[in-house]
Amino acid sequence: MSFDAPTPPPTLLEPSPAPCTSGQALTSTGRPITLRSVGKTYALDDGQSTVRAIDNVSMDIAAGEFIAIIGPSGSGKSTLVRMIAGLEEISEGDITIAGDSPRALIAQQRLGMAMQDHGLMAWLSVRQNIALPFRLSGKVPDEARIDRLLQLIGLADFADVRPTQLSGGMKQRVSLARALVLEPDVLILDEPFGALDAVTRRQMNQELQKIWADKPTTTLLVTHSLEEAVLLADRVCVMSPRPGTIASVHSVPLPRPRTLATTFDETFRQLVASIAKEFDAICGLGDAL
Amino acid sequence: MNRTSRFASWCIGFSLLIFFWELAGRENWLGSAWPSLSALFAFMQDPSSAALLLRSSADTASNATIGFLLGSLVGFTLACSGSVWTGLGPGLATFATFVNATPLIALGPLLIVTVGEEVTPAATAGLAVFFSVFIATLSGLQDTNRDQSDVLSIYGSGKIRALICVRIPNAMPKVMDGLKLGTTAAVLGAIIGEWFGAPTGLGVILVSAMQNFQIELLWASALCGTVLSGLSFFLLAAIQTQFIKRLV
Repeated sequence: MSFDAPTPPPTLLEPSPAPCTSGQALTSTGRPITLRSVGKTYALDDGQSTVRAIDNVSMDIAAGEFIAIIGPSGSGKSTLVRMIAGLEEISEGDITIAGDSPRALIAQQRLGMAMQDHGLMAWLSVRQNIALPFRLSGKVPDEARIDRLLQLIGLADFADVRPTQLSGGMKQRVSLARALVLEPDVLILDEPFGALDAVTRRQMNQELQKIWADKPTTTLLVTHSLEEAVLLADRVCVMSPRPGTIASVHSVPLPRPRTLATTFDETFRQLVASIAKEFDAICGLGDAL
Repeated sequence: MNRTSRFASWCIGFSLLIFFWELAGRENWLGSAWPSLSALFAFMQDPSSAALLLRSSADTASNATIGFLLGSLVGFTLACSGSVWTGLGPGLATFATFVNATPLIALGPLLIVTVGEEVTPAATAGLAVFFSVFIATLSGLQDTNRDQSDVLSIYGSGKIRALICVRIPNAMPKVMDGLKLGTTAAVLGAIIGEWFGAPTGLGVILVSAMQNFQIELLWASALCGTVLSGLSFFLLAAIQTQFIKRLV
């Protein structure tokens, strides 16, 4: 089997034609995202020095596409997705989501986000945490949708339990359900499984695939795991060290649904090895290999 | 140290305190103004003394409760306002600091001539509580972590809704700490307010007993004030424990 060779550092990344599927075609939802020459410079506390975090990132993401972003620590992966989510101001360039600004998407409550520290409210039950976006946006909670998500994440029996009584994996599942409860057009996952052990992480990867397959929305996943990126994404973007730019993009030609068995597939292993080699070169570890 | 050993240590320490207090009173180690505990309790058991102390304690408790409720409400409301309308925050903080920096002993006479001697004890109690609740609430409201703030931003919640749904519940452990500190401050504030000429209360008894050198009455009033403070503190600590248990 063959796979796409690593592309040279691009200035403009075209969206993949469609998520790679087998069998029944997935109905893509979500909105396309366009980044044009996006940069981010932070001012340091002394008021004079600055740090260039992101430099000249351009990218086109198709509606319903699943993008994984990997890169060394400090390469600006989280900053990039936070800018797309409208949580960070951009210093230059432009980000549009189906022609609108990220703030417009937030105003319409069409964005979902799950982070590494899950951000669950300790005083609310699992059900109430999942329902929180409804309450925050002034809507009546859709109990049927919450029930369905509870079933989907396998926590129907824990609906009335507080987050403090849940394991790390369970908390992340709740965080994921909360991110999905308003059926967002754009889903941002900022290292949601970073703090989990390997076994739980693999389980969560399967959960995420199941949830995403249920309604394939435009998804950006920040991760440090190459295997996770290749297993879940339609395309994997590799970021360079600071200032972060998109160093290369790899299409993942693996059919969906992908299971744990996929990770033993020769194509999967070759693609991971190829990206790993390039990743090490980007991080200056090439000579050590 | 397990629970039994801790209790045993507490009993030993408390017994030693009682023993030396009694000895100091009986032997006049600290002069005639230091009564023995037995003499003090004998005085408190006297029906006329007991009635006076109970009535005065009830009045002080009433003033302290009114002051506690008002001071807490004002402190909490102003802190929430400062959190929602951030422009107000610095001004409110300066105002609260100014109120706290002014000694109650200086405010007492001013309150007597402005709001009257009937209301002064509750007012001084309220002022004593206000600052601790204001600062605790403000600190709790600012305590929202980045992930929680992100959740609020992502779902485009307004400031009021964010306050009600996330910031206030998140702040409650700190608010409860502020309220707990406020209980003892309220009793102290009420007694100081009564000191300046209220018709009834422990403060009035304290002044009268001091001026007339009624040593047992003076000590008994002080003891009642301490018991009142302690009881209110432990009551709120018990409420806090139950509340936090439900909250987290």
